[in-house]
Amino acid sequence: MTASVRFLEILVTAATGLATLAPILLIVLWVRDARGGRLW
Amino acid sequence: MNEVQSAILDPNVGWVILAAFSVLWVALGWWFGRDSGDVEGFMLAGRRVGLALGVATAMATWVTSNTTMAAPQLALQLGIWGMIGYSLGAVGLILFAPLARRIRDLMPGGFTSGDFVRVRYGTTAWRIFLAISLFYALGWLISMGTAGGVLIHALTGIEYRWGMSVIVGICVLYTVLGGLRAVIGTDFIQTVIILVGVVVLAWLAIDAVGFEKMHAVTLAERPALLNLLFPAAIMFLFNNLLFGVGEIFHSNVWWSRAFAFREGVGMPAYLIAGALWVPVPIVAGFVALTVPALHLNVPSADMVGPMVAAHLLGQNGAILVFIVVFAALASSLDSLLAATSDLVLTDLYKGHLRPDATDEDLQRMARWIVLGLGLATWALCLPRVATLAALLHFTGAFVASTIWPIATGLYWRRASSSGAAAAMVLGTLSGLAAYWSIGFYVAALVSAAVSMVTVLVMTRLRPDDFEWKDLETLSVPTGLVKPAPANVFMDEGVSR
Repeated sequence: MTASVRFLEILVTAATGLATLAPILLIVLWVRDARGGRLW
Repeated sequence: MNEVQSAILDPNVGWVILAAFSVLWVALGWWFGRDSGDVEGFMLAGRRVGLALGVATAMATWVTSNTTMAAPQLALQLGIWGMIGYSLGAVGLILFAPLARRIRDLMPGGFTSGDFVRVRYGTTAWRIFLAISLFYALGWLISMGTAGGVLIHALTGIEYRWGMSVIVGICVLYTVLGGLRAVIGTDFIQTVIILVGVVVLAWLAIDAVGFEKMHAVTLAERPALLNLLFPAAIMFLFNNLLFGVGEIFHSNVWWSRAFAFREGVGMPAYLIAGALWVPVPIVAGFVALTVPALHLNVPSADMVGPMVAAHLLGQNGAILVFIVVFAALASSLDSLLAATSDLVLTDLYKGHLRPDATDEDLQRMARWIVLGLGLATWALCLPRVATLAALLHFTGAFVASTIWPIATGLYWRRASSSGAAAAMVLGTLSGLAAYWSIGFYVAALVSAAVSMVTVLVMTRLRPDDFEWKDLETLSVPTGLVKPAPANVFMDEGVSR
């Protein structure tokens, strides 16, 4: 059973999209913690 | 091959980047760690780490150089299941989330995973656990030190031993300067750099090769990589899942963070970090599927990632991968140095050699132990003994044997002490037998299975009657209050 082009495309695109959002989420969390005095 | 060779950085450029980031990490490490204070502040960042830093440090530590270098290697060897299997390493982070909350609740003043095993299961199981844990930690340290030397050599031509020495030396320096605060603070910045780097490389690779061409050429030249029923790859998938769970459940790297996070942060931090980690090995690994389309001649499997980046992006690709992997190496190496030195300090030095050591002794020794561990890592990395993945998976037999003793010990008061000790020994031996007789992709599977059966059978035959409040004896005042030495490491010494 061979993976199709579509399967490969969905897998890689979804993973890359989620990984693109990750640093944005981290920075949002940092700002939230810093404003609330909860960074450390 | 010629195009790749021409894209490799000039050694002088390599030294400039290496120097610039070394200065940056040491300066940031010093700055973040300048208020570390007492031994609790140095080892556990004052137990007040918030969610943003908590998520970032869990992610950064788990995104190792192996994620960025061995994921492409595994994709090249095992195809699609190789990278999906690697991404299941995130299951360990996600499953550890409730354990982190449980650990914090049971032992608000605990210091190491060894503390728990000693009090919960007694001296014999504790010593077996320490042997496994320290062996694994050294294996991981060597793996990352080796990766550093390999990467720098592949991209710049700088001799392996020089590159490895610089990376190990820098991490040791800023960990000595700032302790866990330095580690966690730099982890945040390193995580952002790693994620941006792998994402940029992935989008550029997609744009340069395209899925149609990638699929067609791979199907023609390496069809097994697209085979969804590739038996060894499917075994690897489950094996890697259990390997990751074993690594995280037992390692003091993750326990020390459970102790260091402020109350209520451990569970969401590990859940978010796990969810965000899932795509990283796929993003970093799929570039290996471009190798057939790009007609690259890869001389060593663990150089796939850097070579593809250099081929696709020329000098800028080489610089990008260099920075990303330097950040990945540093973020894991520093965490492991800090957590392993905690284990050596509390469980070997205080637990075995100097039970009467004072708080001041421990504070002084903490830095010497980080330094000694760094030197040991450097010496063991000098001969390049194994490929990264081989070294990584050799330890799977060891760590998977600890999954059941740890999980049942945290939730099941009848879980047997003798069963825990036997499970770690029998699990490890059977996992090693499977490693040598079948392959690396079954070692953790067999080890975890044998360990589980042993725990269940022994608990049936010789159940414990453990009192959870015994773990509270590890408690010390939290926050910035300096802990009373008599309470820090348990007055009763090493025995239960």
